[in-house]
Amino acid sequence: MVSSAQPILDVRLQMRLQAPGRAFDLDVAFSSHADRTALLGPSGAGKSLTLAALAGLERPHAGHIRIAGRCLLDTGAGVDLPARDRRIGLVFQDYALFPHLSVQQNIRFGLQGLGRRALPQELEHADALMMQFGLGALAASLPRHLSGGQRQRVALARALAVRPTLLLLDEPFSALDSGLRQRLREDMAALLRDLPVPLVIVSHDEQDVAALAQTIVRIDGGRVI
Amino acid sequence: MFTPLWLTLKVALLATLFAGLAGMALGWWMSRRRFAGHSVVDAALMLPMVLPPTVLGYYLLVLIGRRGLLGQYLDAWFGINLIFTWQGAVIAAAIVSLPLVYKGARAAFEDVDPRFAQAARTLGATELEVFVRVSLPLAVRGIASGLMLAFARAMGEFGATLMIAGNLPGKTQTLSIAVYEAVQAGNDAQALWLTLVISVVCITVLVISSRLLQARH
Repeated sequence: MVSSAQPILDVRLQMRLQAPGRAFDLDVAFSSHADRTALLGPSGAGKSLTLAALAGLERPHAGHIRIAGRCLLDTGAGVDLPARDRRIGLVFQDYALFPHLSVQQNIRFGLQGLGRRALPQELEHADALMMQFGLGALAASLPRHLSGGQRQRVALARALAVRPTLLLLDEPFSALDSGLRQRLREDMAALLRDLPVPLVIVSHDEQDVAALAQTIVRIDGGRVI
Repeated sequence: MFTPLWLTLKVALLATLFAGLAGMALGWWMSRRRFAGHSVVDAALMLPMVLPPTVLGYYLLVLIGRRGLLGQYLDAWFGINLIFTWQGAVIAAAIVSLPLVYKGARAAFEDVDPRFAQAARTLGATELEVFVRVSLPLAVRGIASGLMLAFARAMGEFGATLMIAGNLPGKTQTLSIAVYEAVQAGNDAQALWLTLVISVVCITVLVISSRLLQARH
């Protein structure tokens, strides 16, 4: 995507999470020139926390985040874009689809706001994604009536509808049973292959990662190993 | 006969409106923030539910009475006097029913998975949009149920209302106070009729309220 020597991802994060009786320190630094990067590690390693910090949902006390040269966070320079301005799509582990909105309303969510109407071409783009992901017949359905695979595709379409500069996938297959997993991984790999967006995938599964990513960052105990 | 009913509905509706707005805002705020004294504030907000209504009425007199802490300025600066007025009855009923909205709204907001708000933020939503488009619609059943209970409580309010607004027929005499007076005067038919009206309205409100809670997804 970016042909120059500038990395797509340039990340350094230091943060500490504190709960009564325990604390977790995250201190990771990595950069990647690949369009498909994986954060691999066991559960509790700090992968999802790293993802949340990339999206702007957690605030590190020090570090920087640059996506293809665009600075989202630089604590030294006092830069810290809020999540809504980062244009980073996040597909949550359990998808977090809005339960009160239909498939189409979920996918269109980011295009409109209070006093902000979606442009016709934005709506066209959102509907095209819905069709491309085979969700056209489910446009009016609520998330609770969808299968796991369908929910995942809605979450993906919703994140892509706002044209993010980076897409984050948190354990995209953990909510699915293993028989389905193999087939969905192939479907997803095919879908993602054609997406014009760099992505970061978090997983504890070597096979998921092998099917989807070119660069692998291994994380354990809050550190890159 | 009908004057106390209309007066009661007017007072209860306005009290529910004020308690609703304050209760929703406080419930949302208390569900999101943790600060020193959080549980003290929570207890203070629940206090009107456990205090005897007469004690609450006394506090209100101290606060908004003609020589009260606030009341003396209301009188001196704006010429406003709330004692023995139906507006005073609204204040009393609103305070008494506030905990019901607050408790319902806070529980409903806490029930909303925080990841929905996070998802909305990554999709470009401002905090106001998160509230209006995600948190509020997902909490609406719990809030509506709290509002119904608050309305029922406001309709039945007696003690604090009597202390603040008194018992002026046609002016501040609400249904529940009219029942009391009818019984005192030995007017049993009147008391029975008023009692039936209150009972029917309150049962209706409770049935609707429990339906709202059951239909929760």
